[in-house]
Amino acid sequence: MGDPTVSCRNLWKVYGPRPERVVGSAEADLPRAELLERTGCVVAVRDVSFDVAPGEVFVVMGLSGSGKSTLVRMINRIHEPTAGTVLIDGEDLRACDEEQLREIRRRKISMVFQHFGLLPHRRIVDNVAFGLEIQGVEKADRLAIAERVLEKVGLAGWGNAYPEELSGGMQQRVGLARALANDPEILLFDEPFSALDPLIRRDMQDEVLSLQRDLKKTMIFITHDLAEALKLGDRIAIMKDGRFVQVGTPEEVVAHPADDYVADFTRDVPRAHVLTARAIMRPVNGEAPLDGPTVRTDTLVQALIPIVADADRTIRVVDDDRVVGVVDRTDVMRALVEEA
Amino acid sequence: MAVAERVAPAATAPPPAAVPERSPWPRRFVWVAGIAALLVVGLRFAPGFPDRFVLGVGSVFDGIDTWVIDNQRTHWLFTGLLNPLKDAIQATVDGLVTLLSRMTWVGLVTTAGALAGLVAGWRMGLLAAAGVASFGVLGVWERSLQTFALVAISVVISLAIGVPLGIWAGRRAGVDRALRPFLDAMQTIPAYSYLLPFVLFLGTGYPPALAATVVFALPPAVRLTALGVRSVPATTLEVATSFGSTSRQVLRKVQLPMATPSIMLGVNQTIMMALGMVVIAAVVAAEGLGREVLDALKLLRVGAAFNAGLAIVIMAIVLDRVTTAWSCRERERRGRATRIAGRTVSRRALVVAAVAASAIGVLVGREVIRQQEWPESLTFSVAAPVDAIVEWSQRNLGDAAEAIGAALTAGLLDPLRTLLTREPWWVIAALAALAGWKVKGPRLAVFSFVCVFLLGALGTWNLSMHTLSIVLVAVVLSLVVAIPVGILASRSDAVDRAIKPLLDAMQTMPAFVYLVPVLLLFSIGTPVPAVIASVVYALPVGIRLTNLGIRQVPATIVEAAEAYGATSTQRLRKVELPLARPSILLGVNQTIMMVLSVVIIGGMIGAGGLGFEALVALSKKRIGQGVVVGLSILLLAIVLDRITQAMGSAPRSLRGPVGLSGMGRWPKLRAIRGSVSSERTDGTNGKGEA
Repeated sequence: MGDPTVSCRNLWKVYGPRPERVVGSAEADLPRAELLERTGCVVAVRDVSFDVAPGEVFVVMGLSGSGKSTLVRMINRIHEPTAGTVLIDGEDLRACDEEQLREIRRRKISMVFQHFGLLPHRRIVDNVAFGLEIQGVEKADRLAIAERVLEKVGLAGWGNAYPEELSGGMQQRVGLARALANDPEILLFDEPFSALDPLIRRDMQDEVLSLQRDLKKTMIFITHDLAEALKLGDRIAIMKDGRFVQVGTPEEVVAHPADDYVADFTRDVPRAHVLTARAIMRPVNGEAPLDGPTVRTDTLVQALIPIVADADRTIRVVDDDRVVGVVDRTDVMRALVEEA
Repeated sequence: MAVAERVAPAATAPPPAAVPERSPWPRRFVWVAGIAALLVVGLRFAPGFPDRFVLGVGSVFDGIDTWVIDNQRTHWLFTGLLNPLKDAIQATVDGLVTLLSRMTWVGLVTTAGALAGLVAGWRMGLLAAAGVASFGVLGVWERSLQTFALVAISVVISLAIGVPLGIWAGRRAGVDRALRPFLDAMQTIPAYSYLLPFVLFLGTGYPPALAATVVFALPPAVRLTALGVRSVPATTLEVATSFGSTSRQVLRKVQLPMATPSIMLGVNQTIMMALGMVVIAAVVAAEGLGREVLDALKLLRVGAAFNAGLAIVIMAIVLDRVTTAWSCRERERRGRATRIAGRTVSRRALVVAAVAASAIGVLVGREVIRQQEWPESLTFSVAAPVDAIVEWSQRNLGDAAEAIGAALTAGLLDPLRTLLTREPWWVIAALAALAGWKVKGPRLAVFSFVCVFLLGALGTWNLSMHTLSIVLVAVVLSLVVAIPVGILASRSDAVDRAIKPLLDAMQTMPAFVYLVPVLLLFSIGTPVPAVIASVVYALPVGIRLTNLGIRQVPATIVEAAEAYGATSTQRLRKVELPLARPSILLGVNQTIMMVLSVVIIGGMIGAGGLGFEALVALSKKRIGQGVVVGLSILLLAIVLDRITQAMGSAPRSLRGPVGLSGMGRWPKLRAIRGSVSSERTDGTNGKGEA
């Protein structure tokens, strides 16, 4: 996978007077109200570390107030971290001066906002070209780029309209186009689809997945919707009270929740849609005979159901033609039942 | 079973100790009785304010007067700063007047039409051309040019100071906080109270008039610019930052464009405020329409005053409508090409056409017609007909008006004034403190008491009580009419629609304009004309805020009341009025401030009190007296404002987002008036953001 594109180490964000003293102190672990009373501070993000590989979609999931929006804003330093480091392609973001920081924001990182953040006084095409305009790209060039990107997000021909004339879903396509127009390496999404209704939201998620297949951007995606996280994320971080309580693939999170909090979240997830053969298989320990049907490790339980129903023998799970485990009817049943 | 269930909770949880059912009446009765007792007891003591507490504030300032006269030609303050400034202002206004007259009347009419048409559409172009022509028709051509020049330069200066200051305040909360008390003061103090210092240091004529106008007209420019810049949503700023904008880019590409509607409203407000100062400008001997009005009033030539007043009203209406239409068009058009007769015309072509039309107009005026001034043969002064109406109405309605005036005087004005002047000062101070305590707390109580004491200490006790009595009577009369009409308008869309244009027109007119028609009927020399004029002047704000407050009550709450079977009256009394209270109280506050400003101006038509004293001080250049009267007006205004503002301090819905809290008389009304149209913008912004 190579060096991480984004690397955060021990990130803290504390609001209040003299926030540095709270970082890493014993007080930081106090309950919210007590900490506020004693120090006047609120910890939004506490001691968070993670790496995001090039081309990876890293989803941060948490409820409102969990600190996820603050976290994403520290990655482009709209919010100044109280402590910790943020490396973008190995470059220390917090060591950058104003000028360097602007340069990174202009070229490397673009953000898509929850409430779209379109400029109501500008045409769609000028909204999309905003980032390029800020960079100082010539008008003709930036409008040409903007038209191209608009086409890519399915809004060809809407360039001369104004934001208020577009539906919510279309407005967020504009937000997406604006972020893509800069051709950044990293895309930050701050709950981009939470204001959209469910059907539009699904379309937009599909749009992001298909863009991701084409463009291979590194994405950090904030959401409060677990289904969205599972659908989009290569890896998911579950955030609570400013802390990562679990980081893992969708399957790991669903199959092995780190604590009750995560388990509570994942309880309603249709497990058959997330779990794969790898998650429910048993190791091979001399069981004979091994002559049942074979499935790949990434086969969803959903797809396993008809196979185990038809086969009367134990099913072999293979990875590169090597048998790595076995699954039988009981395993599948158990995986499904645990759902409830 | 059902019964058992209903009883069960009562059995497990005994009801809390019964709260004694208390009607508000006994408590109110105690208050009323207490105040009455205080007043009765007060009558047994020496009336007014004891002389030994009077500070000789005036005499301190009288020294300045002689100092200024002695040093005017020698001291660096004058030779290095004030005199050049004075000369520069005089030269600029004179220069603009000369320029305008050299454009000739034909040139000016076409230029006004072409410019207004360019920025605000052909209808506004016609309105502007007709408006300018009407100055000629009314026979006040030169006076109008003078007034326009003074207003234009004042507005330019106000905007040149106000807009950058507003941007700064909009971007830095600290600057905003630091500016706020100054802006508050500038808007609360009636202009009369600071005229004298300007006269002292800048002489008479255009310079002090311009300075006073700038002070008066500056606050809305600052406030509305700051409001516009500040209202840009935080997310939008984050967007700009996240794409790597520099601070300048954020300002130029995001904050300023998004603040433009608000800034335009500020421009409109600044113009209207400047026009409101026209007559005050005449008090310090600035030339113009105000001078005409003032001179005519002094000679009781109502017709002539009406004629010149009409020209001011026309100027106000034209400038108001054109700037309003301009800002609306800016918002809608957003750089799109205009379509005329089905063909698309570029903006540049329109500009060229407008400039060409103006140039041709000027050329025709200078070379073909060769006449600068409006031709005598085309004038039609309304003075004579108005005088005829005055005569007629005095003959036929005079007795009735006289009777009303007499009743008002005998029934309300005189008794109240007698009471206020007969009471010793500490009773009045105690009442103010009581009011302050009740609406806010001990700090306001002490503040009010001290302010009232200072009124006495300044030596203007009787004058202040005289003015206060007129103000109180006028406020009560105004509210007695305004609140019911406001309720009516809130209940019926037809009534609302019917009175809206009337209220719009009333709010466009400068305060003193109301004095003129009132003089048709009510005789000069008593406070009655001032009372009537201020009642009329303050009516729109009371009506509007009552109406607005009731209409703002959320539909779901009204629905809930109706679902429980509330009658229309119950709905009004138990739901709508309580919820509209903050808005109505804001209306009371605004009514008081507006009434006060008219009553002060009313001094010049016989209302007496502080206003008359200020006029005397100005005309005789008694600096000490002027300062004392100015301070008294200031104190009176502040006490009344603070107490009534605290009464209505709850209305977050009105004060917070719309930013009405600190705005003075006019802008507040306008902001409310504008809120109807800006709701639409907010709505669309909301859609864009949410």
